[in-house]
Amino acid sequence: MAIVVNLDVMLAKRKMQVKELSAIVDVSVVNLSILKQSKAKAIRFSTLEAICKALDCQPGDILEFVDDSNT
Amino acid sequence: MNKVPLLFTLIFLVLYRLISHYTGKIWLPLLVFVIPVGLLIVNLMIRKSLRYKTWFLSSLNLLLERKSYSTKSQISADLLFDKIIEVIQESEFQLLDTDKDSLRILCGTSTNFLTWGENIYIQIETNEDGTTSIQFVSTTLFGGSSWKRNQNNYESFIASFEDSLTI
Repeated sequence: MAIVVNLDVMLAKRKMQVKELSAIVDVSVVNLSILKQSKAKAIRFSTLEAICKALDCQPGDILEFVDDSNT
Repeated sequence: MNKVPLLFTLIFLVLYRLISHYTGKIWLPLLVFVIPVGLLIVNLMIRKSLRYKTWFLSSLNLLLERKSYSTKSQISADLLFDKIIEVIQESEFQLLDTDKDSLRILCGTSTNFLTWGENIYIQIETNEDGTTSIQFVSTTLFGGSSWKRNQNNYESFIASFEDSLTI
């Protein structure tokens, strides 16, 4: 898994529930859960923008590159 | 009109007239058609429930064509169940029945000018390696050939599912 989604970390920092974020960014809870588990195929810029706005953070706070080629 | 496949109805009427004309008996053509027509009516009546899955998927049911496909996913079974329901609701398929306990979903295509529609049975299972498998079976409601509609249903479903993973 090269790109890790740290959405759960940011949600915890902002003390926000997935359901709450879902209502703000207009993305279903199911889709946010899939994103949180890093199982999504891709993320739209519009979704990323909405999440960053809602959580008051940068894209880098949500997405992280982990080099797992040596594991 | 949309609810009745016109071609089938026309063929039915022509055959009925031909048989009654050549035999001179009115009851004979009715008897010939009573089994397939009765089967179609029963299938249309029970299609919306998961309870009759074994009837539609039984290999003894020779008058139906069914195609089975399987795919794997990394998403957990519970989440995948909700995801597939969401995908179905946003696609051309109609959600007919669900069973969260056994992770079974029934959806279908609508009746139109050329088809009575198909039923699609989806079963989600967790594998030993932690992945999740999706069993997909598409079956006709009437007729031994789906004219590739079963295959098209699977391809359409997979395309919708893959698209929905772009969030």
